[in-house]
Order: sequence, then C-alpha cells, then structure tokens
Amino acid sequence: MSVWNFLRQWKGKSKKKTPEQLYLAPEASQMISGSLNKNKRILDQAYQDCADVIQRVIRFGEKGESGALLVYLEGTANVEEIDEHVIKSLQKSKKPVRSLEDMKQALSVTDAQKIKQFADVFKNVSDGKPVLFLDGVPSALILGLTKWATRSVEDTPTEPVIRGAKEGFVESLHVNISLIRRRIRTPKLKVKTLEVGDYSRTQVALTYMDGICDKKLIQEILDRVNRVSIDGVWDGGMIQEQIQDQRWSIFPQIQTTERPDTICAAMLEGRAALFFEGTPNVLIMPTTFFAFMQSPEDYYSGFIISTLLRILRTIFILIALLAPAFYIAVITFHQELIPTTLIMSVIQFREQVPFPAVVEAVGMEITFEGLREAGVRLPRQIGPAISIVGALVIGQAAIQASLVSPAMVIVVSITAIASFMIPHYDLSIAIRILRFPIMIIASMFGLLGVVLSVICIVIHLTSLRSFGIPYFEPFAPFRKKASLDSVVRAPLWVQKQNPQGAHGNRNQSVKGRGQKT
Amino acid sequence: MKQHAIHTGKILLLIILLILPTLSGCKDHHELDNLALVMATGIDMTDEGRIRISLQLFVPQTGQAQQSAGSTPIQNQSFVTTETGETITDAFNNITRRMSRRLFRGHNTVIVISTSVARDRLGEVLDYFQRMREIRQRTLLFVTDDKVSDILAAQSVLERNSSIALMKQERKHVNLETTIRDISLMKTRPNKPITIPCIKLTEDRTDPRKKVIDTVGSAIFSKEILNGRLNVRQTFGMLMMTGAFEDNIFSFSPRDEKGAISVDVQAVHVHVRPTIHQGQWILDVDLRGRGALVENSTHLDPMKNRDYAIIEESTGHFLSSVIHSGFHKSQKLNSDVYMTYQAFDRKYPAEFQKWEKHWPDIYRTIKLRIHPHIELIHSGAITD
Repeated sequence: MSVWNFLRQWKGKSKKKTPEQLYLAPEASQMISGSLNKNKRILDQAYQDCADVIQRVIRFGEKGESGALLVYLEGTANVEEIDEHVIKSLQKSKKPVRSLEDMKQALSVTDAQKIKQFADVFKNVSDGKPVLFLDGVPSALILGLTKWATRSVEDTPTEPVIRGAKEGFVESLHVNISLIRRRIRTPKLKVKTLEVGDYSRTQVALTYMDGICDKKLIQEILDRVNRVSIDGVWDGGMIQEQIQDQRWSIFPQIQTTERPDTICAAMLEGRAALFFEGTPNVLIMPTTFFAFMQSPEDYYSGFIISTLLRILRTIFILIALLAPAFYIAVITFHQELIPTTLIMSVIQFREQVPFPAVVEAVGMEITFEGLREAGVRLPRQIGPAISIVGALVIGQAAIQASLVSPAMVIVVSITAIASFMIPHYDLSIAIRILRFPIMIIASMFGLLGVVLSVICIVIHLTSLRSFGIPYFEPFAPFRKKASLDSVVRAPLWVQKQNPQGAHGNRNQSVKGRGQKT
Repeated sequence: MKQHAIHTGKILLLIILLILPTLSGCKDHHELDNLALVMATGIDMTDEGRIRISLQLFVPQTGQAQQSAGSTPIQNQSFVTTETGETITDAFNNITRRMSRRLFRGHNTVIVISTSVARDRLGEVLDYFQRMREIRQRTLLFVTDDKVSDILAAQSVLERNSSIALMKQERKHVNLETTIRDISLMKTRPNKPITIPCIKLTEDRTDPRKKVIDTVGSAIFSKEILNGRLNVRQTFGMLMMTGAFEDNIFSFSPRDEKGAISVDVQAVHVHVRPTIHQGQWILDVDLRGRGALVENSTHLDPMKNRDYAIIEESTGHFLSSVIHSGFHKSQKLNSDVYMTYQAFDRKYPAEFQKWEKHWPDIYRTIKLRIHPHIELIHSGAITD
C-alpha cells in the first residue's frame, strides 16, 4: 500500500492548479469603449497573428454615418446568415440606429445578448459567436450565429446492433443532447453544463433525470469533474481516468457509449451521463461490472434469446480470461485431466514444438494482440491484408514450421473470439490484459494458480465501487430484484412490477452508504 | 525525490524476494514432450520367481509420418518393453532407467496379470496398485494364461492399441469390469471374493497372422488366491445376481423342441428373499426381466399364446440354470462373488454376525431357489 500512497502524494505535488485567466488575452480586463477605433485597436492587439479572425467594419444609415464592427472566427460563424440577417438588415434599416436596442430591433436574429467586457468578447468569439460593436455605444452584441463543421448522425461502428436504433452520437454536443431530448420528452430531463480544460474550455454537459437520479450523485459528479485540472479535454476518457473511484484499477468503473438509447436507458435507471464537446463518447456513471456485459439489443430481442446470449457471454468471458492459462496448466501439470485419446493426439502435435507450452502460449497471444492492434491502426484499405497475413502466418505457416502446435492455435482463436464477444471494449481490453499474468501464474502453479488468480480478481472486483455503488452488484452484495437483469434478463413485465425498478434500490443504497470521495 | 527512489528500490527488492519462492512451483512442471504415456501394464513372473513387468508405451507419430499413414493401414502406435526385478517397483525402475522420458501412468487404462502371479501373489500386486498415486482407481484389471507381453503387443485392428481395444470391448461384451476400486471394495467382504475377467489371445479365424483378444470368462479368487474360473455364461449369471448385468443375447434350445431360439435379455431385476429355516440358509430369488425374441428356428409360433408362454418359460428356465451352475461352482470354490452375504446380513444381522467367521462353511450349504418371471416384449414376428 505504501507504494500507492507514495505515488499518489508524488503526483499531487508535481502539479499546481492553473488560474482561469490562462486562456484569456491580457486585454480581457478592459471594458468596451464607445469608440469603434479604440475597440478595434484592442482587438487587433489581442488577435495578433490570428489570421482566421475576421474584423469587418459596416457602414450604414442613409449617408453611411453609422458604423459597426463585426468580429468573428472564420469557419465557425455562419457567414450566409451574417450576410442575410446582419449586414443586409442593417443596411436596409429605415430607422436610425443609435443604441444596441435599436440594433436588436433592426437585426433579424433571435439570439442576441448584450455584453460590456472584453473578457466576454473573447470567450464568445472563441465559442464561434460573432460579436457586433456599434459606434458610440460602450457595449457589444453577441449573435448566436455559429456554424461548426460537424459530421451528420451516422450509425455506430463500435457498438453495432442488429435490432434497435442505428444512430450514434457525433462530435457536436448540441446534436448529442438533441438526440437524447428526442427520446425522453420531458422537462424532468435536466442538462447541466460546465467547462473543463484550462485552455480548451471544453463544454461538458451533465444530464440526468430529475426525481430518479440521486441529488447527491449529481453533486458528487460535479465536484469530481470540477476538481480535475487539465489543459485540454479531447475525449471523455481523459476525465474518466481522473474521476474514477479506484484510479489504479484495470477495470473501468465508468461506462462509455456512443449510443443514445443506452444513455436514455441508463438515465431512466437513475444514472447520470456526462457529454463532452468534440467527442461522440459519453460517460455513464455509476456503473457495475455486469453493465459491461450487456448490449442494448438484449432488451429489444426476446428475453429468452437475451438470457441465453448473456449466459453465453458469461461463459465466453471466462474463456477469454482463462482458456490459455487452463491449457498451460493442464498440459504441463495435470496431464491426467485430459481424456486418453485426446492426450495422444496432443502429444503428437507437440512432439516437434521446441518451446515449453507457456512460451508457445504467451508468444501466440502476444502475436495475436499485435495483429489486432495492427488491424486497428492500419488504413482501412490495408486492413484485409493484415488478416490474410495473420491467418497464413499464425494459422498455417507456424504449424508447418513446427513453431506452434495446432491445439495452441485453436486455443488462441477461441480466446480471440471470446474476447470479441464482450460488448464493451473497455472491459474486453481489461480481460485481455489480465490473461497474461494468469498464464504466467498457471505455468508456475498449474490449476491451483489459475484458481488463486480468479479468487484475487473476484476479491478486487467486489472491493471496487463506482460512485459509491458496489461494482459487483447485484451479486456482491446480492440484490434479488436487480439480479433479474444481470446474467439473465427477466421478462420486462416481471422487471416492471416494481415501478422504480432497479434504480429504486440503488438510490437507497447510495443514501445509506454515503458517497466515497 | 531521491529518498523516494531509494524507497521504491527497497520495495521492489522486497517484492522480488517474495516472488522468488513461488518459482519452486515450476519443479512439478512436466512438458508433454518429456512424457512417455504408459497405456497398459502387464505383470508376470519369471521361472526364478522374479517379478517381470511389461509396459505398453504410446509412440507418438510425427506430422509427416501421420500424413503417409493416411494411405497405408494404420499401425498401432505402441511399443512394449519388459524388465524383471525383485518387486514391481524394482522392475519398473529398471525400465525407467533405460527411458529418455518420464514414464507417466496417469493414462494407464489396463493392468494384465498373468495366472502365475494371480495364483498366489495377487495381494502383493493389488497392494502396489492401490498405493500408486499416479495410477487411476478406475484402471481395469485382467487375468490371462498367455504371456502378458504378447497380449500387450497384440495389434488391434480397429483401435490405436490393444489396451484401448480391451477397455472398449470389455464394456461391450461381458460387462464385467473390475477396477482397482472394485477390488478394494471386494476385499472388505467375508472371505474376500474377487472376480477378474479372464482374457485369452486367439488367432483370428480368417487371418491367422492377426491375433484377437477374447474374453473367456472370469477368474474367481477367495482370500486373494486364484481358485477357479467361471465361463462366460456363468459370468453373466453372476452379473445378473449382483445387478451389474445390462443386456445380452442368449441362444438355447427350449425343452422338447428341435432348433434354438435367441433371446435378447434386458432390464433384469433381482429381488432376494433370504430365510434361515432350521439351520438351513435358503435364498429365494425373484428374477424379473424382459426378453426380445431375436431369432427362432424352432416350431414355436410366438403369435400363439401357448407357444409364447413356452418361450417365456424356457427363457426363465435357461437363465436360472445359468445362475445355478455358476453358483454351485462358486460354492465349490468357496468365493461369495454372488454377494449373498449382503442379503443375509440385512435380514438376520445377529445370526450373520455370529456366523461371519465361518462364512465359507455356511456359503457352501446355501440353497438357491430361483423364481424367474421373464416377459417377452417382442415376438420378432414381422412378416407372418
């Protein structure tokens, strides 16, 4: 334990909190002046070497006596609408424009706010909103005419389903929130926004269902997120890593998804979701181990099918974790466990293999992991090539060259298939990593080592918590109602008998136990 | 910072020291390619009275040999080696000394004991195998008059080697399977009655070059000494009494009829009623079972009620004669392999305890009365 404590202290000392002013220009403290020229000078100073900042002076009125200054970032503001609703409207305006109120009337823009400080100017320009200064008025108007480049809503390649909604989140926070709003049409769906990242000032939205979700949980999430000190956030994972209960654990204690239906279901169960601008990955918290073994599809296809599939997944998660270790243990320690006719074949296969079983197994597993990683990194066009190389190299040539035995290839492939059966990538990678130490332990202690490793993992899992919720719920501690939707999936009408469902339980448990910070 | 570095160094050293002793687990580790699988063990005696053991070892064929073997008839993948010694362990160690690999006996399926050893040194042999941790308690035992090494070296036509063939055929034909565990149980019974199937190497009728292993009955022991034999039919009778009988087709001639019938006898249940009447120990046996007529070369017509009853009756008569003949033999050999003592022990515990020490004398005088009730479930008549 002292190692962890020491590392924790060491990490805490090395970094200090950065002041909020970091991202603002030094001119931010100034107030907007009545003189257009003076304002322009300040802007020029602040946006020195910013080629994408457009400043445009507009002359209007009957003789062009009135002047206005429009500032915006190229590519983030909607230029067509600026032309149509700002410039044309001003030039066509019959009434004289003397104040911002007059200007608001003249423009045909809904979202227009008045500001007085340069700090707000910089913030809003960075957010993509054009700012309009009027000559002779010591304040400015923010126009909500942003247009960020965003891809359209597409299906999710990372969490595909056969039955169920295909659309997934995109990189735009507003689009993502709208996808949620479309599914849960009630004002009880709350969206709280905050900013994270000293320089990036990433927009973060915390969504939850009022009345279902525990207020303490919301406060806890906000506290934890606000305590994070980071320069920029490009994905939820960067925050997840820092706000998890047990940061040193290999198991993810916060769930990630790209699917709106998953988020909606989680929120109705009393969980909260954390959206980040610029990434389609949304965090769900709290979560349990079994949530990672469930697919949204489980609820769309019948309960018999889903139950069978979930049991299948549970079996295969054990295979993914233990198959190579079991093979090593049995081959090198417990030869009497193998049926006689099988061991005769296995001996023949292994006769020419020069390595011990553990070297063979670890080598093959590492090769496979390399192959998989290469498959992810390779450009899409070369993707199929790597699978051909992999199949030929690992599958055939290695056997013919007597480097590995065919039995080992079978074990590796079953393990690979099993690891891809886990619906959530975060858990599947954790299982894949844990496989290696278990293999080494199996080569030293045989099945005894395998059993001890599993015991250690289960002890760790039961000791984990996700925002105060036991990670191994509903089995440790055992909750009968919630266990109906874990390894099995009870029919929906059975689960619905308690209108509060699983979350009712969960809320009480959070209150009773108190939050762990 | 520097202090911390020293700190972690110490901790790392501690962790390494703690992990080191765990490496001792690697000592138990045996790679498959360092093992020689012992498939069968044979125990024999030389003329000088030394123990001689023969081991049937599995010979792995490499990939290329396997491919070429695809076209030619499959050779048995076994090799038999023999060595003598003062004790079984001694002989075994003499074999180990010549082998490049560790002899692994976890897959030893068959133990063949020659009659010369079985006659008076069976206790010694059984003691060794009961002690041996690596040999399974479910290993099958056989007794043979032939040379043990010949049985092990016999080429099996269908299986990979003779031991697997023995294991499979025993279950299929006689259903008398005696394992080391069975023997341990049998040894607890009065007078230690033990039965072990008897095998014999015979020439194949069509191809004299090929040898076939036949089951020729069972060897009967009492007090771990080989006393005599039961033939195959008598063995079936014994199995019916002990409840281990599964099914078999018996062919016999009904009384007053020319020709023979074959009946597939199944689902035999035995209900035993012991009585002690004026010092006479009597065993009434209700033998219930079902039979299917498989073949009929007599004039009996199974479609007629009368003939039907005759077939049923004669089947029952035949079965009781089979049981009787074996029982009388076992009474002569003084080995209670029919486990009659159990029935008496349950009904007359006091009497039995009084006489337990003299059980051999009592067993000789037991009167067996069999009441067969065989029901013909299938006439076999389809075309008539």
